[in-house]
Amino acid sequence: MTDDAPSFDAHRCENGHVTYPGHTRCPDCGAEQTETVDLSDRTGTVVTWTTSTATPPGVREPNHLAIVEFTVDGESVRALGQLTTADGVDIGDDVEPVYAAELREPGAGIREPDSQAWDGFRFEPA
Amino acid sequence: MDRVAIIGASMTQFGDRDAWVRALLAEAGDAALDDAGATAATSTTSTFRTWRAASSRDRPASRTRSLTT
Amino acid sequence: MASGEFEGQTGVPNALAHDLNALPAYTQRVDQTSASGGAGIYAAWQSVASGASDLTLLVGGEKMTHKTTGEATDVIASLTHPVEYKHGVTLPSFAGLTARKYLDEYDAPRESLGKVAVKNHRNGTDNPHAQFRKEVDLETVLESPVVADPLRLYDFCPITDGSAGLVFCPESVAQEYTDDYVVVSGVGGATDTHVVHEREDPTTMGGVVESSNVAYEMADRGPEDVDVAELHDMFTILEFLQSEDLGFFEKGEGWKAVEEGVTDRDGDLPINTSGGLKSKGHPLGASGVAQAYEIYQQLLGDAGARQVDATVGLACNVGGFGNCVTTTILEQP
Repeated sequence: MTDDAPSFDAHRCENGHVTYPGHTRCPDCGAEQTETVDLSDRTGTVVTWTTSTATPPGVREPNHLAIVEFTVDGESVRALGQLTTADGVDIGDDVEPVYAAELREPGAGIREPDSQAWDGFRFEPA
Repeated sequence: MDRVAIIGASMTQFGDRDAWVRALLAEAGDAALDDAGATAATSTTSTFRTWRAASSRDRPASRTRSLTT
Repeated sequence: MASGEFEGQTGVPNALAHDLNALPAYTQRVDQTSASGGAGIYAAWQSVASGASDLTLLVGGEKMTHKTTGEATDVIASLTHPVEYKHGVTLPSFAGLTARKYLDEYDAPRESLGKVAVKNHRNGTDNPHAQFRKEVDLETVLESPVVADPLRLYDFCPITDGSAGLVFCPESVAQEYTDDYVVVSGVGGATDTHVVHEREDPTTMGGVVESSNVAYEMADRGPEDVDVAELHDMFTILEFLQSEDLGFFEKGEGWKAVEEGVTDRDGDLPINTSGGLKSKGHPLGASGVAQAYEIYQQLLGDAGARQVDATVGLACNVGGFGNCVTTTILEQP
């Protein structure tokens, strides 16, 4: 990856706790989160997954989703994200993040388009 | 400590209703008060006293500030 | 409630007080998404317990059916964190994710979830206010269309209009109004992570555990004292999680209780005698109030065909996907 490549940032406090997304205070210890850890080049494990067939406005249908766990220096951190495919995916499988410029259509749903980002990482079976 | 009691309860028909939220709330609120044997207008409690009795004109002059003009 | 978002009408408490000739009574709106009704019970209890009010009316209601399912689902999904929302996550998809994990972790059969729907629909046939008063069989549930794999249409509550109300006062003056009243012996509220995937155990609802601990302690009761319970079965899997996190059954064994009929109307601990959100319907702000309405009826012996033998009842109202939870314990005086 080049330096310009989008990063998949988890947030870490001085005590080594890692969360995704970040918080004003670390949910584990209350310390400030002072650095980021890029998850985009790492391999994660599927904790659980689903395929949603009744999706809201602006969301692909069907929408495959997974909760994925990464390990960063012995600390686990989880992220929820779309799966590129649900074919053959099961709990415990390895997946890798793949960047997508637009995960759902901004403005099609109720949320103000400018209030948040719409790009991010899908998970692809490794 | 004096415990809190529930003295009335109501539930309206759930489902596909023609009424909008204001009417739905009023229907349930009226029925709950009715079940409790309380009405908003006749209750003598401080919460539900009849509001038309209260007016700024009833406030004693001694409690208002005097103006020069 | 979320009425402003569904209908474009805000300021509804003010309108209600005016319409009911309750002026100048102070009003407030309580927003805790699906748990707004339970949060309203908490607020109404606080208003009376603190001495600030000697008669408090709580009304929960929602108008939702004018929206398409997709639109209504999106309004509800707007409670999620931006990193969740951008992936198109919905509350039903959280239920699918959790159900798969639960079935895998505790070796529970898919059929056990279906049996929650069958039981609650059966109970709902005797509730004159329920949206659905029709029994469903297990085959219908298990063959209904997939909504969030492994969950199917009949694992989900419908979209509903409706309302419910409760009137609170100090117990010392209750008999000035009526001989038929119940007591709020315990009430607790708690908050879990906003971001659902950050929970250490995806099959535990921390807000249910914490809020019930507070309510049990206040009531000087434990899970073994509860005779009847209304749980927030917005999705069938939630009935398992709550029945465990409230301490009725060991973690991972809630499904067995349903299989064995323990939570049936004639079982040891009847759950959702009203039909639950599943058959009664789920007008967001009304649901927590309607749960208490059912317990109130059960304790007063007014539940008709749904009547069970009960002196202590519990209602658990869940907002978000367990993000905010209230537990209320009601008892005969």
